[in-house]
Formats: sequence, C-alpha cells, structure tokens
Amino acid sequence: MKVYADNDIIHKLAAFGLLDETLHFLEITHSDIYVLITAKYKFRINKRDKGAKRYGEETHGRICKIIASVNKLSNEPPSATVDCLGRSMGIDAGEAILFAAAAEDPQALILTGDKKALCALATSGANEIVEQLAGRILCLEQIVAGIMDATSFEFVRDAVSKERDIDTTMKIVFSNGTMTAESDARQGLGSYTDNLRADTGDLLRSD
Amino acid sequence: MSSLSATLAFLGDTQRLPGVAVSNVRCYDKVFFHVSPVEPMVVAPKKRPAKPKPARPFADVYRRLRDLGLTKPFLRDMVLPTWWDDEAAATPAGRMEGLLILARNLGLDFGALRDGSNDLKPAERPNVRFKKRNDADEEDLRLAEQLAHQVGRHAALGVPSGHPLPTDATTIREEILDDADAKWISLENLLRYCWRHGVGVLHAPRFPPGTKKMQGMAMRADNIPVIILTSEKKASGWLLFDLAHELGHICCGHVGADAAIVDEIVDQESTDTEEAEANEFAIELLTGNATTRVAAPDRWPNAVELTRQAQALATRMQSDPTHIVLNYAHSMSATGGQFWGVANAALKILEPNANAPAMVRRALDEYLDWSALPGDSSEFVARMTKIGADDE
Repeated sequence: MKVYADNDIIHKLAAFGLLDETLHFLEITHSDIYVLITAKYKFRINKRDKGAKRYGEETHGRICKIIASVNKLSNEPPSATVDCLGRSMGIDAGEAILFAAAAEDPQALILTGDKKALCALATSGANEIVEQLAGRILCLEQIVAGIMDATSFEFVRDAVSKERDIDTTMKIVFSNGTMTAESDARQGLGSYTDNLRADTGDLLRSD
Repeated sequence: MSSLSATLAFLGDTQRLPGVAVSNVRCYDKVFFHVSPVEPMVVAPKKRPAKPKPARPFADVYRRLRDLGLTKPFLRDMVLPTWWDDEAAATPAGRMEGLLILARNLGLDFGALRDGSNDLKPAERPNVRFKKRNDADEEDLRLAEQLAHQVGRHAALGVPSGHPLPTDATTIREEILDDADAKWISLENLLRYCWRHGVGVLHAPRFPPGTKKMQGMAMRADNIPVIILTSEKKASGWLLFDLAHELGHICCGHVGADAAIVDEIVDQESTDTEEAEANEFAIELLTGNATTRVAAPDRWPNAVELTRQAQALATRMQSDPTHIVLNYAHSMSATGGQFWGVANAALKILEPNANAPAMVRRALDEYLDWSALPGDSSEFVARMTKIGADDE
C-alpha cells in the first residue's frame, strides 16, 4: 500500500517522536511511504544548521532520517488534476501534487497535518478528485488516536505534550501536559476529528 | 635498420628535443636535413578535463518569464519560496511543483507555463477594470495588476470576517468618531475600521524593476474585499486618501464578486463616474462633506502658518490635519499656482517621523490571520508587503 505523507505531518510526527509508531500503527514500512521530491529542500536536509535552527536539532535529525529512508515522488502526476487543484488558493503547490498523485492510485492513503488544505480540497469544486480521494485521508488527530490504541495513552501523552505548541489542536487537547486525563484527550481528539469530518465531507477515513 | 630509417628515427627523436625543430627534410640518395634553433619549447601543463557545467533545470523558465519583465532575482527573492532550489526542477514532479508555485503567485496559466511552446498568458482573469489616464496603456499596468491581484487572493484567505460594512461614508465616519479616542478619521483608525469590517488592506510596493505600478486597487476574492495600496509616500495623508478612495469603490458597489478596479492614479479631477463617486465618498468620509475644498482666498500661508491652520481646522472639522494640508494644496493648485512645496513642508512639521506604509504593514501583520494561509502563500504575501522590513 502506498502512503503519501505531506510535509506538515512529517514535521509534526517527527517533533512528537512518533514516526516509527505511525508505521507500526498503519502496519507499513518505510518503503510504503512517499513524500514530495521537494521535501529535502523544504526541510533543509542538506543545510543542517538552518534546519536545526528552524525545526530544533532533535526534530530535524528525525526528519532527515525519515526523508532519507522513504520514497520521493519524482514522477509527474496528471497535470490537469494538479492544475485543477492549484486553482484553489487554500491548497499549496505541494499538497496539489500529493493529492493528484494519490488520486491516481485507488489503494493509496494520504497522511496530512494540514487541515486547511483538506477544507480547501473539500470546497474546491474539484468533485471528481474529491470523490477519488474519499475515505483515504488520515489527519493528525486520527493518527495520534490510532497510536494511542496501538501503544498506550501515557506514551502518546508524554510524547505529544513536550511539543504540543506546534499544532493548534494538540495544544488544546494536551493543554495540561503530562497531567492531561486520558478521557479528556480521547474526547478532544474525537471531537476535532468529527469537526474536520463535518467540514470535509467523506475525505477522512472512517474509523 | 637502413640509414634512411635510422635517420628518420633520429629525426623522430629530434622533433621531441626541446629547443630544436625540423624545418626541412628531403629524401634522395642522401638524406639532408637542417636543424634550426627555435625558441625553447614551453611544455604546457596537462589540461584538466573541463568541469561539467552545473545543470540548470529551471533556466528555460527564467528565460521565458524574463520576456514578461520578470527578472530572475525578483522571482527568486519575491515569488519562489526561500526553500526553493532550482535543482528540484531536475525531476518532473519537482519541476511541476515549481511551475505551479510560479503560476499561482504570478497569476499565469499553469498549462501555458508548463508547455514551453505556448505563449505565456494570464490565468483566467476575473473582471478587472483599469481606471487610467487617457494616454496610459492598460498593458503597461498588466504585470503589476497580476502580481497585486495574486497577493490579494492569497491574503484574502486570512482576512477575518467582521462586522457588516456600511455602504455610505457618513455612517462609517460616525462609527469611527464614536470611539472616544478618535479625534478625526486618521489612517490608523480607518485601517482598524477596515480590518474589523472584513476588508483587508495591504501595502504592496514591490514589483519587478521597471514595472509600471498602480496607485491603488480594490478587489474581491471569493467575495472578500481587499484593498491594495502601493504609494511609498511617508506622510499619512496620502495613503489615507488612497485608502478612503478604494474603500469608496467597495462601498459604492463598483467591485463585484471576483472583480477588481485598478487605479493607475487616484485622480481627484477624474471625470469617470465611478472615480468621481469614489472621490466624493473619500472626501465625505474624511471631512464630513463630499464637497469640502480647503482654500486660502486671501493670503497664501507659509508652511508654519498652514500647519497651524490645518491643526485648528482639524479639531473643528474632525478631519485629519494631513488631509487638510493635501486638500488645500490640491484645491489651490487647481487655480494654477504651485502649492505642493509648502504642503510637503507642512506635512513634515505635522508628522516629522511619518511612515504611513509601515502603519499599513503593522495593521496587516496584526489583523491578518496568517495561520489561515498555506505556508508558501504567507511567505509570498509577507515578502510582497515588506512584512518584517520595519524590524530590519
């Protein structure tokens, strides 16, 4: 199964130290993952100092490691699809390429940390592409909840709490840090997923 | 070995000797040869194989865009994100991403940009109308309009929805003056009012070198009103009037959904119906009366006197003194005299440290919901509007 991961989800999972757990939860390996060919530039893989300054040394190290070990999307997705998606100002060029590539492969999954792009996709008017991607997208909240089930609440809480400020939802859900109660966190993740589902139609994978 | 072949063998050796060269050889029964001294042979250092030229996978794109007036430095510094590396364009997907970024930020048709054989053309344009002097060419403004339009479209994603915007100048004026801190309609409080009523205001002065720019622009992107100002004059009165004029276009209903009005100059003497309407709206908003003209019928004041009179009038009329000074210069210039020098001097007295563009930038930075923009979009908007320039 091909899994397309956007830069945002790579950044956030790397910051939480949950990349390996994500693979385990999805029962995939590095060879299943595809990222944008431009990810290495965006993450300043060859500019360690700049990258570390921007993302933090530990997070940047994890990002470098994952980018080195996964596939890079080097072939052009259909240009008509990219053109159609690129007309929506809420979908940036990288997301448009990733969505277009995934739309081509009916088995592929998309992992995204970019809720704005998902909402923009849902309202872009690109109905055929939206239909093709329906039920094949996992957002950060779903991934974090899934890892909780696959490992333990305490493990995820401690991992996310340290870096919760990088994501608005995680900042709220884990606002009490390591004192966050499991029921509150699970309810929060579920509630934000439901809200996103309400804004994005059938795009998110059903649990 | 025969004597001839021995000689030739010798000649062969001679040819390799430094300092001698064979000038003539004849082969008969006898072998003659002549050895003449020449300059010492310089042994050239071994040539290193030429370094392969670095691949420039995006060079063709820069070349094509240069023909539109878009220089490579402008594209690299303003249009492409800081993370972009031309090397990314060596793969089809990377090239496609780079082209899509350019198309989205420049307002170009992606298909035409991707297909090198086609002429570059603007993406499908919304209803854009140019308000220009008769001798000005609309095409000269096209590039600036396209760029400003895209900046506006990106920024519109982050314009917070606000209170409903009244359609008449008097109501807006009254609402602003209701605030106890508002002595008159200043650039600062008009900016705040616009943002709180869902109108984005941007100062976007950066265009490619040599590009003719417009003075102002009012547009709607997905029905969100956005005003773009470009004047770099420091005194607040200039941008205050431009902003009031562009707001007039929006409030008077001149700008439909996904449409734009591009003002080459904000001309207070324009006879164009919509321009005259926007001018009246602006004067009414700033002074309380659409026909206010400040003049000195008897004695022309010097800069200090003009400043004093403008301050006195400002309190009485609840009108910004910098606007009063400019209104005066404009009204008096219509009589044929030169009043801009004294007006500029008065503006410097009124606002010795004025930086109106920085004021527009601060409001943008404060009110725009940057998190609503994709990362590359917010970087583009920030660069084109010089956000951060005041920190340098």
